[in-house]
Amino acid sequence: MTEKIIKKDGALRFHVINTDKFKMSRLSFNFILPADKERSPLTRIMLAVMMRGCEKYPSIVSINKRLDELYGATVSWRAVSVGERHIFRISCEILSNKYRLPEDKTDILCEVAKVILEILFNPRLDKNKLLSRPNFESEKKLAIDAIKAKINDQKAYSAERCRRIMLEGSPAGISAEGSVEQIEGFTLEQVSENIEYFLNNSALECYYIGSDDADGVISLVSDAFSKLKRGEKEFVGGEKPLIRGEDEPLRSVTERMNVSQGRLNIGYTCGVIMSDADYPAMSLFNEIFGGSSVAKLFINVREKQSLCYYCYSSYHSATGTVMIGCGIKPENREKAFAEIEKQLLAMQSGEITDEEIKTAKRTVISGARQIYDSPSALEAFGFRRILAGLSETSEELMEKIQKVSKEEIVRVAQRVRLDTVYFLYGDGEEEFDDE
Amino acid sequence: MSEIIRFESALLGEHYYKIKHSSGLDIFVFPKDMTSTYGVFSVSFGGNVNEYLCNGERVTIPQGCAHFLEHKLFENEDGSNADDIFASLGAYDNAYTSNERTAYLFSATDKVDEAISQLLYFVTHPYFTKETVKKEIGIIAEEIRGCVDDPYDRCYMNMLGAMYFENPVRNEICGSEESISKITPEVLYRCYKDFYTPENMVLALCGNVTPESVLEIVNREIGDGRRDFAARLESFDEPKAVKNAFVEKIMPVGKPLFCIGIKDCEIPASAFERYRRTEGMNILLHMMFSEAGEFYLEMLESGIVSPGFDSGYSSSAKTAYVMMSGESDSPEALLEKIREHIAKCRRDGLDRSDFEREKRCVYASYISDFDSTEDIAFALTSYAYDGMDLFEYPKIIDSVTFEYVCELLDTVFCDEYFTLSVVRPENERER
Repeated sequence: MTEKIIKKDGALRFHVINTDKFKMSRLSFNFILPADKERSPLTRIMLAVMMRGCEKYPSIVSINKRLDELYGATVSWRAVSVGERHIFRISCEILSNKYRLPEDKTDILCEVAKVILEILFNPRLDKNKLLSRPNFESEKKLAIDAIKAKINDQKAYSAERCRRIMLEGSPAGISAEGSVEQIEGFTLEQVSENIEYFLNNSALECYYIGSDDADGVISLVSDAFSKLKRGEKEFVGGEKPLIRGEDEPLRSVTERMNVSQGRLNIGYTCGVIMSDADYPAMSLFNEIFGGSSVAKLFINVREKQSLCYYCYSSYHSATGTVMIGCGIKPENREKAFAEIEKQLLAMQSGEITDEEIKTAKRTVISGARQIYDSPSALEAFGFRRILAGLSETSEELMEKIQKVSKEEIVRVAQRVRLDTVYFLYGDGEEEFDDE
Repeated sequence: MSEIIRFESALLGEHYYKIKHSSGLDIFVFPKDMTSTYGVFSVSFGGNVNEYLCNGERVTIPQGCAHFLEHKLFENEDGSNADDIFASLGAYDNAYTSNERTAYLFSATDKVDEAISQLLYFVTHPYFTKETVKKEIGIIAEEIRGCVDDPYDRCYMNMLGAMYFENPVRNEICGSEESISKITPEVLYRCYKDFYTPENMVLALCGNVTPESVLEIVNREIGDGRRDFAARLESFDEPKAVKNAFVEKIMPVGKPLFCIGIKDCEIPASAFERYRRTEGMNILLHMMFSEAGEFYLEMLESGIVSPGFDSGYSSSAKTAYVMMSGESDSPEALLEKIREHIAKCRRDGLDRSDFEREKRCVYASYISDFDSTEDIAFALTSYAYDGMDLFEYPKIIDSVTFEYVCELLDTVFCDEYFTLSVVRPENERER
């Protein structure tokens, strides 16, 4: 499976992977912008309103009807943070032309791309060049509801709270969603004017992965964007390790909510980002520490001590951080915290078996191999490396992983430092003091 | 002798093999050129079994047994754990328990034959002691507490509880902290012996596999001696109407969550007819409530529902219902609008072009299922328990006509079949 990179201009590139392996193909648009406290949430609302209707398809229903005619093609969009960048990604899952019904001659891929281009370039504007006010008000409310609904999933909520507390004050900590107050203050004028800024100032990486010929879709997209004078844009960037001064105190926050399970989340800095030579060793560190059900955290905090149902670590390579999450009985907070710290200390003092390393290598390599089974994983792997300024293939990564020594894992473990502790627990339990 | 049958689909350009193994086990092998091979070894024993008959004896077991057993099978007698073994192969393993089944699975990119052997080995070698069972009670209790705090899960389970009088799907799959405390090694061994027999199990594999190599592994790990499956579940008498039309719970949520259930007791006995009804219902629900329909637009624009409003029909041999779920500032008002919309569709009739469009989506969605070894292995498993061939599905889609869908509209939505479950935020307690 080889990837062709077609640079259309200084701000638009196409990545094409032609393969017969999949029956559904993937077309995606990644708009890359710096994380911006004001503009990112504005852009989210703007896209949400634009997805509600355009000149040709005036409502969300007419857009969806058209997509249903195109064999139920799905179009979804989201804002993703990668360190100091915000990526606004529109992605489409499209039936390959060869599975069209016998009498049908539609080029499904091009037709879906046309719908996206209509949404981006011919939005529904009134005579004052403003987007639909009812849709704007509705999306504003929905965005606020979505922020409020985050408490519905406490595992994700507590993990995000911990991350936000840890990254507060750094550009990587800027939320693309914004705050309730911020969104309430947005005006229709601001959101409508932002369309031009968005189209003119973002770097755009498009992907096509599938069995159809991509030439048609490439010309459609590049013709549409060439009408704008977009100049040169930066595709690489966003990665920056979070570094804390020696004398800065531990960030510790405890919150209460009406829940029965406690959530303990811990943030560590490690300083290793994806473009760092220690990235492969750091991936293995995380795998052994808390990345799987044979990891030290799972075995010791869950299996040996029965303290929790889940206990994991995740490595965030854009900020050089390692985040821990576990669900515990509130009274077990100290015990769980002590056990997690104990396991880290063990790794830092070299208590890692050859078997653990062998297993972690197999798992990480297996993960790198599996990207070939899914168009979205293929894109995610390649796109993340573009931001890191790397051109490595998954084979090259596997080779690097294979070569990592125990000493290197211990060395990166020693770079891991406690930074932030967040604890969420239920009402009716006794108070816990911050440390 | 084990018999091998080949199934082929010209539409998809795919084929698979079904092997009726001499032990009674049904084996499905779907070769596919993917990096990862996926295996599912499942047993028809799930969360809805609390009582059964075996060789004339009535056995009552604590709620949550199937799920507890699922957790414990990962431990081997020599102290090793299936997770460690799969991890050492660079493979991923997991398991889940649903109402009807327990499934053990792996995904591997390398050493596939060894992964298959290990899957068969750990599932067929139970080992429990008082100590290991006691320790698991703590872990599962945390899992139960996690579910209790999950408002989506609560909303859904409350809906099932309000919809059914007798159907065991209303019970918690994990059981309760109280019920699992009654589980002992003896209880687990008993359930294991009564349900985990080859005749009551299915092995489905998709990826880098051949029927010959799989057969060899099964012969080695399971043996070819037949063991009879004698456990029988008793049928239950379920009234057509719902138990409660409304149920609500206060929890920390951003805005009210709802699950609207519409109970369907007309479950066809033949699997083909049941699948046809399921497809017909899903097409009908999409025509009436999907994000490509006017009803959704009206509800969205008037602020009654949020995006993510979903409707679907789920059915198994003994349980079928429509479920609509999402978030709404006023679930009661939404339910009223839904009733009005159903009445309107019945009065004005459905649109044939909506039907054609939905059918096209269903067709594409079927094809899209064949891009993942995981999806294929799970689809083979569920079709196997119903005695259906996965490649027969286009025939089911073809058999769903516009007239059939109109007939469903006229018969399924009776007032006394509706139930509304709501999870409301604390500050709305007075309402």
